[in-house]
Amino acid sequence: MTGFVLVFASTHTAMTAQKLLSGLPGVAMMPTPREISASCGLSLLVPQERLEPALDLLRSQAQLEGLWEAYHLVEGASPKKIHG
Amino acid sequence: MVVIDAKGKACPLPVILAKKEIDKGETQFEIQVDNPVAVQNLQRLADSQGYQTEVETKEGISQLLFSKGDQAAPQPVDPQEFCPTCQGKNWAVFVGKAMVGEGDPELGTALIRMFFFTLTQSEDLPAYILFMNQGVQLPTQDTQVIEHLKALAEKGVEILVCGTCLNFYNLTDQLKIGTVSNMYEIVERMKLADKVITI
Repeated sequence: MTGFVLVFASTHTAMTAQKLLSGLPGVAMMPTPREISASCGLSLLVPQERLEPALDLLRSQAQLEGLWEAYHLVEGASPKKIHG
Repeated sequence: MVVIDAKGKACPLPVILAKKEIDKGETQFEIQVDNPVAVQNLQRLADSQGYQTEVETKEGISQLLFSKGDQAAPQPVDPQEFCPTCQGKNWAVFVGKAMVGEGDPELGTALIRMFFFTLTQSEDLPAYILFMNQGVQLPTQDTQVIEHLKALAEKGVEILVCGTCLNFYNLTDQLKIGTVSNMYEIVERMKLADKVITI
């Protein structure tokens, strides 16, 4: 599976972020990929064209600072951290 | 002549649809399927019921012409018997509400979206997904779940949505994916399935 995935420190943070990003089409809730363990089980899958707006929205929320990470998923390779 | 479109229908549905025509006493009918396993299963059925078949396959679509033989005598059968390769793989998901489990609705909604996401990533897919009661909110209103259901339907999963429930919740004209169905069909799919997972 390939794409960009946002992972969160807690389920509550993940659901807050989901609401924040609900205006971006194509953002989907998914179980956190098995390769990324240090986070809660609910993640957000972001299509490439929505990645920048999604990151901007999350960065704009001071209360979420330090509570999320972004990864680039590439088929057959370990996820590459791109934020957090 | 009756022509049955069973393309994209999961095993053993093509066999069941053909058997219905046999039971009605149709002397000749055609059924269209899109995979060689279904062709074999249908031919086994025809043999057991005293029907002859002629098969024509073009671009992956096979048309089977069933013709009643002189010795034909329709008998009750277990459709699964004619589908040796799909046994144990015929399962159903019953969705009776718009979330997973009891508890916080927001968490339950997140979980049901993740459930369908995970299903789309899986190789072993259910033959049927059945929506009833508040579950009908998912194929009508939940954008993410609708996308996943479309992907599953493309892979041959049959999606049946309770028409009474759509009507009750005033959602009939908002169905985005799946077939409006009824209790008879939904119970029939449950009985065909080797296991039914209730969400």
